[in-house]
Amino acid sequence: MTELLQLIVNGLVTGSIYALGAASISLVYGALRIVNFAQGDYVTFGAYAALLVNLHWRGGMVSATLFAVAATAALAVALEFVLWRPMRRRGAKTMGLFITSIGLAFIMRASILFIGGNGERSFRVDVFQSYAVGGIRVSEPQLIAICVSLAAILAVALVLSKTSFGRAVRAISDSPDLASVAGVDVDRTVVAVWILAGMLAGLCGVLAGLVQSSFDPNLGFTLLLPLFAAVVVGGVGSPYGALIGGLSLGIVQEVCTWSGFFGGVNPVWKPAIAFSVLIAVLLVRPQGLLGRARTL
Amino acid sequence: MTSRPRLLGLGAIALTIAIAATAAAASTRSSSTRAATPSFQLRIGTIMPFTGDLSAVGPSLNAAVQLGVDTINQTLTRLGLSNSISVDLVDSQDDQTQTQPAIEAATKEVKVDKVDVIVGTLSSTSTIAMAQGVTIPNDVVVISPTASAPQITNLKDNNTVWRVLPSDTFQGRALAAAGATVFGRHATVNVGARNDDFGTALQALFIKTWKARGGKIGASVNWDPNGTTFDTEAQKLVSGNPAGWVIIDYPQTFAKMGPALVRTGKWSPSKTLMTDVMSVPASLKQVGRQATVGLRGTAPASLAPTYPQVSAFAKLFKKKESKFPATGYEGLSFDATILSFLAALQGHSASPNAIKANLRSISGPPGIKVTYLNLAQAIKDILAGKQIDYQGVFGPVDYDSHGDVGSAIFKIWKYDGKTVSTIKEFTYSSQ
Repeated sequence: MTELLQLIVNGLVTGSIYALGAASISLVYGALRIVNFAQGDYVTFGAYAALLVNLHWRGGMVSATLFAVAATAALAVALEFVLWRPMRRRGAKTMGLFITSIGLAFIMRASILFIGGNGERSFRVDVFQSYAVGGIRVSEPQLIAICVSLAAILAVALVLSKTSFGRAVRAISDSPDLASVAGVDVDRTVVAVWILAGMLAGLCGVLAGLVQSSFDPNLGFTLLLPLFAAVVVGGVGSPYGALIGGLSLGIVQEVCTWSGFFGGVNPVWKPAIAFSVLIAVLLVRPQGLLGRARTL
Repeated sequence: MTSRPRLLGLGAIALTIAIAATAAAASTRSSSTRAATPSFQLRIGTIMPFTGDLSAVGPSLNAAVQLGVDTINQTLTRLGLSNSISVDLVDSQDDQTQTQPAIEAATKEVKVDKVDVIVGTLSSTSTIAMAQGVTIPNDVVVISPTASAPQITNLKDNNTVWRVLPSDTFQGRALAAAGATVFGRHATVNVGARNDDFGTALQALFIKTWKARGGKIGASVNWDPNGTTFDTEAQKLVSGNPAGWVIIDYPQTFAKMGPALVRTGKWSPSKTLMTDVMSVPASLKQVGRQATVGLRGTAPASLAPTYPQVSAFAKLFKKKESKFPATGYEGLSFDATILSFLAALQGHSASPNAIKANLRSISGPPGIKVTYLNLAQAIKDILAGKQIDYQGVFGPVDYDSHGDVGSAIFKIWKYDGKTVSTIKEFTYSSQ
């Protein structure tokens, strides 16, 4: 029983990271119809921005996180003006924007590698400390990851459902043309979406770096596949969907190794199990758990 | 329309020139076989992990190849042979310690740079992928400085894949011997390994040897190096109550796995054995003190510094390539470079066929023992048709019929938090 609880906690930790990154991707795709292959590198950028404050300017983790969130949001906005808006003005559609994002991903990863170096980096936190709560071992970074991720996604969900800005976002995700006819400032809303997505991605990077105890420029890229899976499982466009998708993937991955589950799957099969769940969900409910059924 | 007589005249002149040229060539050939100076340019390409899991060692081993190339060219210039023979490092590519980039790098070096020899890569998985995908079909020689997985021994490679570090069949036995020394022969041990060719093969070898010697295995766990979190695997690895652990991993992944193990509260590095790549001080510092102080492990040892070429090379590397940290494994890629040159020299050609046909004979007995310190003499001996036996700066080499080195010295190393020291050494021979 303790083993199962421990595995569920492990799954919540992994799932929280997935959920944050998935919320970021889901927001961008839902509102802007961009499959952003570079989102993983936004996550890596956030981690390295926090590293800059934490290591070089000797700031604490809180200020490092705030800086990372702000910096990634700023990067997202800059890229909107420099890359995405010009591409959209030239008539680029889903496929063209996807290919663009692949190129952007490589450029960002190479830049981070060039500036940050190829070695493993860690924040100045104690990665070896853990607490025993009942029979379960959990560490401070892990608890923080779970709580912060939950809080951030709930905040985003509230913003999207309760504020007029949120209404505008939902309007442009349905149809940008109709939304602008109805009086929504599409360009400003798009920038705001990028700010939100950038903030989520930066936060995801910091938490992923904390939870993994060390990271390199491939941090976000190796996360990308599970992030997309979480988006699809949860349903595109819904932050609650990203939360459910991320957490369920994380928990399924870890719990499948439980010895009470037919002796436990060998941990190397964790990604395979996670993606089997993805396929099962797609077969039964193609729009994802919380997505809206739509005809394409 | 040209007139017939003119055509005939031109034809006669062409024929005369052709006959004269052939006669001249024949006479020079008969006079040059007496001197027999070959003429070739050996094109070497390197594929090393400049990023990724093994990036702590990649740049240094690449620098050692450049050092080897420079040493050879300087010696050739001193002998007055640099007009006809030269060695060039035509390209260095990054395999990111992954398979797909290794294959792309090899494709570029084989098809675009037209290399004769590839020195690389460092991880077994990348080497096997690159060999099977690119170099074996294209008949290019590969000398890997450090790929140690046993699968490479019997690879169907047309004699093109060679390596300088001993196969892990030796390291499996060394790990078992070290385990017996540290834990006791009949102890129960938990084994953990990264999920790739190197990790799973060595894990299987260790388990087989350990059980055959009367030991017991508790838990055996593998992990995906690209995983997001490692706590589940760490918790599985510390289950039961083993006398100790044998862990097979690379530094950058262990930088995540090690802290996860410490957080379980049930693991201690002083009760753990790891392998060669972890014995590099830079790698150990990357992981963090609490996961590494007291750590022990096995590693292939180079010949003792009392051998002149070993200490001379260490000084040379420090002097010429001071930008790169000395990991202790630079000698391997340096030897790979010298070996490929000597083989090409004996084969009188830089073609991969000539190199692979001669690598074995220049690397081991019979022959005059030479090192890089008397490279000039070695070149003269080969050109005079004599047999040589190259003694490397890491090991004596002595290739067997599979392209593996024939004997190996292993050591048990220990990290006390500041330096890595040797506790014990033992020698294995496949003969």
